[in-house]
Amino acid sequence: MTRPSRGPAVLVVDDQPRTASLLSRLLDEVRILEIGPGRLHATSWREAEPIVRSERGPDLVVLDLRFEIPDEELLPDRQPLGDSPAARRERRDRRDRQGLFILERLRRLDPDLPVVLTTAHEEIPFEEDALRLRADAFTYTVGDEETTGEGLARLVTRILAERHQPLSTGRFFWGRTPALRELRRRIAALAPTPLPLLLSGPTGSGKNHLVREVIHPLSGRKGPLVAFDCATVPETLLQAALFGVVKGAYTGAVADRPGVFEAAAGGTLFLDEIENLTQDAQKALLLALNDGVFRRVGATADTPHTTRIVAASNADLGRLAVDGTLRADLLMRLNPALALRLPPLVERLDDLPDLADEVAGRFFANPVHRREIAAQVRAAGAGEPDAGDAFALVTDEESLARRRERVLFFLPRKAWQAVRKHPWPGNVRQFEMVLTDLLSAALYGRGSASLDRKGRVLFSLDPRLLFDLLREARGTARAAEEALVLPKPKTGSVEEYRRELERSALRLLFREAKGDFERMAEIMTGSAADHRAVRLRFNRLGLSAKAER
Amino acid sequence: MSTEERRGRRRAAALRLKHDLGKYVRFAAPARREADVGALRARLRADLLETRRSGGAARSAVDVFREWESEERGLFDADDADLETLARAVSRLEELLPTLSGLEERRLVELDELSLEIARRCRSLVLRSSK
Repeated sequence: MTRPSRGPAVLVVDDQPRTASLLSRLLDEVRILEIGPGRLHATSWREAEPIVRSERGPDLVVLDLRFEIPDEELLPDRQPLGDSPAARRERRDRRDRQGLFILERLRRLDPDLPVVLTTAHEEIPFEEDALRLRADAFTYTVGDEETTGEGLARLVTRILAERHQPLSTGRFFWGRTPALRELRRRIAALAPTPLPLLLSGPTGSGKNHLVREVIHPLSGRKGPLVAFDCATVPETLLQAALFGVVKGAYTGAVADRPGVFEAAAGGTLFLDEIENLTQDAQKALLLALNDGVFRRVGATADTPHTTRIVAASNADLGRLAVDGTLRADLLMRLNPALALRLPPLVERLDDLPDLADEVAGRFFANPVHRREIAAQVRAAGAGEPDAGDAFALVTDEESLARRRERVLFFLPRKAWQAVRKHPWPGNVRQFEMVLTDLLSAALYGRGSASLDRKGRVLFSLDPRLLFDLLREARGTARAAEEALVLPKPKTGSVEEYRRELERSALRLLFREAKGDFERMAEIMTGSAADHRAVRLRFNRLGLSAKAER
Repeated sequence: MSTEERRGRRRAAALRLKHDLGKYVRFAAPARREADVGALRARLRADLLETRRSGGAARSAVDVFREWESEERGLFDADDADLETLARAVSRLEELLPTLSGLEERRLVELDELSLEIARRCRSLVLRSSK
C-alpha cells in the first residue's frame, strides 16, 4: 500500500504489532511512523525515544499500558530483576504500568504532545496515576466505543483533527496555546446547547468575534444574532431597549416597539458589559432565563421567548455579586462554572507569530493594498507582479535570508522582541491595530520599498514608529486606568451620587498613592498626619484597601 | 496475604486478563458483523488464532487464557461466575478453532458470539474486582 508522505504522523508504542498494523490499514491520511524496515511499532521507550526526539517527530502517540518485554527494556531503570518472588512481583508491576513510565518520559520531552493511552481511565492500576492523568489535558484514554481497532482509529482521527484545526474562524483567532484549544473544545460542546453562556475576558480579547464567528454559527439556531452593549444605553431606557415597550407606557411611547429580545427570536442575544444592567433589568433578565418569558414595558402579560442568551463582561462578576451590583441569582443562572474565559494577549505570547501572520494576511488580501504593492513592485524595477504572488511578514534576519516570496515586509528582530515584551492592555484588537498601522506606514510611506540582491522587494517596517505606537498604547491604558470615572446615576438621589463620586475619587487617589494612606492625606490636605481620617472615610464609604490592591 | 493485598492482586490479575484477552479477541471486529464470510473468517483468525505475539510467535486466545489461568486463577473464588463462563467459552474455542479454515458460516457466527462473551466477561471481572 502506498503510504502518504505528508499528513500527520503517528507513533505507536506497543509490545504487540496488531495496533500499528490495524491503524495503518484504517487511517488513509495518516503516516504510521516506521521504527525500522517494515516495522510500524516501537516495543519500548528505548525504541520510541529517538523517534520522539527526531526533527520530524510524531503529531500523536498511541501508547499501550501493559508491556510484556524483557527486564532490560523495562523502565524505570532497565536492569535485570532476577528471579526471586519479590523480583517477579516487581517485574509484573513494571510490565502492568510500563505505559505510564513511558508517558512520564514522553512528557518531559514534549508536554503537550497528544497521547492516546489504549486503556480505559478506570482501569489505570493505581489511583495516584489515575489522578495525575486526569490533570493531563493532552493524554486521552479510551472509552467503551474505542476499545476496538475501528474505535481507536476514530479517536485518533478526532484528536488529530482537533489539533490541526485552522488557527482562525473568521475574524476570531484561536492560535495554538492549550488554553484556547481547551476553550475551542468546550465551545464545540456548549454552543449547540440552549444553555445561557457567560464569556469573560479583558477588553480587546475577542469576545465579540467569538460570538459572531463561532458561538452563534455553531448553535445552529435559525434566528439572527443580535448584539447589545448594556453600557451604551441610558439606564432609564435600558429595559425598553431590551424587552420592548407598549404604546402609552410612558410619555414618548407613541407606538408598540419590540426590544432586542424579540429581535433575536429563535437566535442569539449577545449582551455585552452585562454588569451595566440596572437592578430592574437584571430582575427581568432573570425571569426570562428562569421562566422563558419576558414582558414589554407597560404590558400586562408575559410573552414566551425563544432567545438564547450569551452574556459577556470584562469585570470581576463574582466581586460585583458580593457587593450587590450584580444579582447573585442572575450570576448563578448564567452558569459561571461553565464560563468561557478569553485570556489576555500576554498569556498567549507563543501565539504572536501566528497572529501577526493572520493580520498581515488580511492586510495583503485587501485589493486596495494589493494594487499599491503591485505599483511599488513595478516602481522598484522588479517587474510585473503575478496575481498569485504571495507576500509575507518576516520578523527576524535569519528568516529573511531563507524566505523565497518575491515581496516581503520586514521588521527587525529587536523590534519584534519589543512586541513580545509589551503588555498589550488592549489585547488582540490593539495588536491588530498596531501591526496594521505599521504595515500601512511601510506600504504607503515614501522610500520604504527596496530591491535586494535576490531580486526581492522589501518593505521595511519602521521600528521607531513601532516604539511610538507601543508607547502611546501604554500611555492610553495608563490614562484609562487613572481617569476619574464619573459614576452612572443609579438611584436618582443626589446624596447617593455624591457618595459614588467620592468613592471614585478616593479610589483614584489610592492608586496614585500606591495604597499609602499617608501619601493620600498629603495629596488631599498637605499633611500626612491626616492619614487616619482618610482611612476612616475610605472604610466608611465601603471601600477596602485589600480589595483595591 | 492480607485481604487488602489479595483484593489488589485480584484486580491486577483481572486487568491483565482484560488487556491480554478481552481487548484483543475483539480488536479487529467492526461495529457490525461482516456480511462476507471470507472477511469474517479472516477477522476471527486474526483475533482468535493470532490474538497476541510473544517473541515473534503467535498465541491464540486459548493459549492466552490458559496461561493466565495457570498463574492467576487461584486468586478468585472457585465458582466465580465470570471465570466459569470464560472457561466454557474458551473450551468451545478450542474445539472449533483447529478447523477454522473450513467452518461453515453458522459456526463462524458462533465464534464471533463467543468472542463477544469473552470480552464481556473480562470487563465484568474487572468491574467486580474493583469494588
